[in-house]
Amino acid sequence: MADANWKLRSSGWKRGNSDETYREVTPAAIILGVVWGAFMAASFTYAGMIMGFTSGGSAIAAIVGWGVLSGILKKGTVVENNIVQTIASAVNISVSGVIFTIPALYIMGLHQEINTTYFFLATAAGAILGITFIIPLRKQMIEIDRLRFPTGTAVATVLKTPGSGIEKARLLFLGMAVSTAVYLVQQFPVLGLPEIIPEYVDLRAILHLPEWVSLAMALSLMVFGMGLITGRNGLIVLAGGILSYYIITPIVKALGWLPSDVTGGAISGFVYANMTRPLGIGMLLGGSIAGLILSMPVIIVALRSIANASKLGTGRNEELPIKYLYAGITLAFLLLLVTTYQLGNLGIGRSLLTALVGVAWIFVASLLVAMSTGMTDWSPVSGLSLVSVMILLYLTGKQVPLTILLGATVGVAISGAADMMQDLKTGHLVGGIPSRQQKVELLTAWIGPIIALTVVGLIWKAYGIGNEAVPAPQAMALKSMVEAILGGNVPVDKFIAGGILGFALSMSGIPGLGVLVGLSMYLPMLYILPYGLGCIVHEIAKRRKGNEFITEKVLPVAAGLMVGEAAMTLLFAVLTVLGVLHP
Amino acid sequence: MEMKKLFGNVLLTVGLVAGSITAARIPPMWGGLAVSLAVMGVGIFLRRQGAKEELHRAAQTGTGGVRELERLLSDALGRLEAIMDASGERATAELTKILEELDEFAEKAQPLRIEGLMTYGTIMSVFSRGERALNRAWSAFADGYEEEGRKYLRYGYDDLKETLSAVKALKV
Repeated sequence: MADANWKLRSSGWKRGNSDETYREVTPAAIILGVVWGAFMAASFTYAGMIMGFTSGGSAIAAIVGWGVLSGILKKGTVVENNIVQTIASAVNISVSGVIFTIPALYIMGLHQEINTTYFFLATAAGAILGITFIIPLRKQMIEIDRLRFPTGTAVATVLKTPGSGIEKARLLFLGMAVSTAVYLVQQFPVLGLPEIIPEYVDLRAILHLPEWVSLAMALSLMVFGMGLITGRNGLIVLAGGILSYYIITPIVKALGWLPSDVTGGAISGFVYANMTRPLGIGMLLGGSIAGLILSMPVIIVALRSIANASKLGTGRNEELPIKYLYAGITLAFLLLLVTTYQLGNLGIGRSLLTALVGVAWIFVASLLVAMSTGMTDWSPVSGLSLVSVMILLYLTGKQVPLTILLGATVGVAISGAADMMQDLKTGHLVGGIPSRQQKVELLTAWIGPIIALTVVGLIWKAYGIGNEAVPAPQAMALKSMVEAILGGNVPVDKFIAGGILGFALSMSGIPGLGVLVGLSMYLPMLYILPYGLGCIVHEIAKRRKGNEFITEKVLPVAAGLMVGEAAMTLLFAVLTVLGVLHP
Repeated sequence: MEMKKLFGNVLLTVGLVAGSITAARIPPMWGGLAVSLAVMGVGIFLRRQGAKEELHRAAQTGTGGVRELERLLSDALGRLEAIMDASGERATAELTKILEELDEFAEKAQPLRIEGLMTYGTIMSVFSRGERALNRAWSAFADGYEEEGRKYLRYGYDDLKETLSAVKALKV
């Protein structure tokens, strides 16, 4: 181990040449990023529809990037590898948006009503919007608001490891090894082996607490690692979770506000599903709107800065010109307009309104997801999808096929916005040029939807969708969501009440407080607990050992924990594709 | 902690708890929610006032605020000057420490929001650009591209000087 690290580090010093241009956007980086991104996109599309999970893949791409660029080609650089992971992520990220929506059309037997071309147009529009909206958001959230983007920070730690010394590399690999081993052992039952380490532990049963108490903790080192990097903001999420599960729930129970048939262990689930989670979604929305209002001066500064940078003919200009923002919005708007007009039979006026509101909503949703992800590493995509579907059903006159298709646009856009913000945070931390990262994102993001849609189509032809072979759990969830909305079973009053609370919280002077508390009510306690534990460890280490200890010791370990589990996720996705694993 | 700020936090928390409970009911208790929001509003007002007074007091005593920010930036600039002609390895090691301290600057600059988001945004925008330049310098030196490293070392230095000027211009 030590010898390998020494060689890796040593080659770094010998590799550069003072007369050579610093390698960043290179053919090797682009090709590798596209190939690896395509591989991940195909694998996660397939696995997502069968096993129900996906992953961003940036961390894995960073490891692969080092392996190929430095290990095989012998000439990689930190910022070149940053381009690899940026492209791979851009290609892969549309998967989650696609598999949450498009398969639902197949399940409902509605896919034949829509020409395949529109599948691509809708998802491509989403990819374009996701990228273009983060042009000003990047400056606001990463440079001015200084959001942490834990995964982005972890990936930066991976990218910088070869130049950071032996100790950091050792800690990174240690984290990877532990996380990999634990995850593999946890998956023994899937492989037909006896269970040794469970995926979660029921603390309620162990502590003999009342049945209504929800106190199960996921034994996920990746989630713990997320908390280790997040720190302080995560403590608010933990506190909010405590409020939700251990203050609101028992008080609601004591006041007799529950239906008489909800008793025992069902109480916690009922309160979560019907009370606190919808309230949390509302808080997220209210908090993000307040954040948008409060951030308007900052966004103006960001836009002005970008515009000024564009005017400078010489010197250092590293911002993507603002015209890209305008062009992207216009193009996406037109794509949505064409799709809506051609498929919806709504007339030109209604189609214009739908496209316009759609673009505006995507901006708000992208801002919310980016803010939430930046502060905590959690992305409330499914919650926003619920609101999106509700809005779209209203705009389209309850046309389900068109709603789901436009929902794909939203899903791809907001997933893309969050993940690409992570990548741009990584770029900031390793010194990547933002305009170059964003250009390669624009260049390659359209590939992901094609791959994902193709895989979905192939799966449909081979196995069907929504059956035992291909359960497509996320799409089934969307189908249920649509049916609930059409049936009038939507807790709009909770959204409104939560929105008001979230708005007020974010006016408190603590940036994003409404979003943080909303997120805590939105997330299941299963994940809040290991996440909160990581945040606590971070804060304790910071107070006792200082910031240097966090940077030098905690970050590499946390990054390793996250990378290890992410890599295993991809491995299991591949095994699913190969038919080794079954639901 | 400033008493106003502390009391504001307490009221904010109480209002949030009560508001969440009343909002959680099916259907929500709108009256109770309104009262809770009023309590939260008072808490927010007190909290903001307390935070502003805290910032001003820190500035007057020199124990924090703008003077602390100036010190951090001046220190970083001095250390950058010392490594302008240093070897790549030494520059990388020193930049690692400087970047950690710059992260501290960013954290301590957060209270400046109270003095106006436009001003805060301008300062942090320039600062972050400088930080990114120094990050690039670190990466370039680590990869053995010394010319690129020195180029962005100068960019980062210039941006931090500009940031220092902007901080000094504040009237806190």
